[in-house]
Amino acid sequence: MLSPSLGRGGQFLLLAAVILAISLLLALQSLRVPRPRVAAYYGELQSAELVHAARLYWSNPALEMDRVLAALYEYNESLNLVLPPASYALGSSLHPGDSGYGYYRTEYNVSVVFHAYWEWELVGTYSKRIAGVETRLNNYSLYYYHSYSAPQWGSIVLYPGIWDPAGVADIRYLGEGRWYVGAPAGAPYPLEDEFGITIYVGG
Amino acid sequence: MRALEAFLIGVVFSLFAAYACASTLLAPPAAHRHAASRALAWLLLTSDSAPYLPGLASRVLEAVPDAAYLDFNGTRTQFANATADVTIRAVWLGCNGTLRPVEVVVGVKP
Repeated sequence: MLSPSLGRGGQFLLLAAVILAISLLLALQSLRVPRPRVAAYYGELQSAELVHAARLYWSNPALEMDRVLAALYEYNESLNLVLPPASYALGSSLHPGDSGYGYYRTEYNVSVVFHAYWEWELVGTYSKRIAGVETRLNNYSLYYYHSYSAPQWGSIVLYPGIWDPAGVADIRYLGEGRWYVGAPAGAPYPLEDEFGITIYVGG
Repeated sequence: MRALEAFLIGVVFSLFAAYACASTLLAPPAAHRHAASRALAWLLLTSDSAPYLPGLASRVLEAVPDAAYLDFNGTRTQFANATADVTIRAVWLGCNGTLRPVEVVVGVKP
């Protein structure tokens, strides 16, 4: 009984109308063909641009972060990048020694973070003849990674390649960001990653 | 009573018409609509030097299989005989401590 104020014929008519409507909607739903489209979207690319700017700055802090960001925002208009206005905080640290760690960090106010971190530990020493001179090298176990955080992807970890611009250190990659580095003892020894960022081991 | 029946039937048909219009007129959400933009973002995240080395076109095509063309350094590389529906623009600021911005524009097939 739908309603006491409706006649039996009216109730059937109403029920029929409801069933017809539902049936037609279901049929329509099943006939719909997906039409995938590519559309302009603002998110990952904008955050990636900010990470890229931070990484470029740390590869050469003499560039100055304000200048790097100014260059990026110059293209914001012409390329219609739709970058959000962003401010930033910079941080870096180096704790030298037989074991130690260091990091470079740029944190934007739009929840985008660039973080390069490394830590090392002395695992042995050995001697090597460099330019005709017997030199003592420290063998370090090194762990090095980049972490890029953004609201769109959470956190991405990269393990960049490293090399010694001076060509003195012995470098061997173990995988997953872990390395063995034989570097001259006595002072923090500079190495460079594939993005041009200088890191130091030992000291 | 007839008026009530007519009213209720009218309500049912109004609801039907509204849902039908919504499902046919509104475009369905496309799950992969952001894929090309994400791919270019990944290229930017993993390589500072991509535009400064040979082989950018192949790297772009590898990252964005739906790419129709690449505009870079004033040259257009056409990947497919298709009209680009969307243009994705990115800027590489430089690499290895050198500020040298370049624009990379990728047209993506519909």
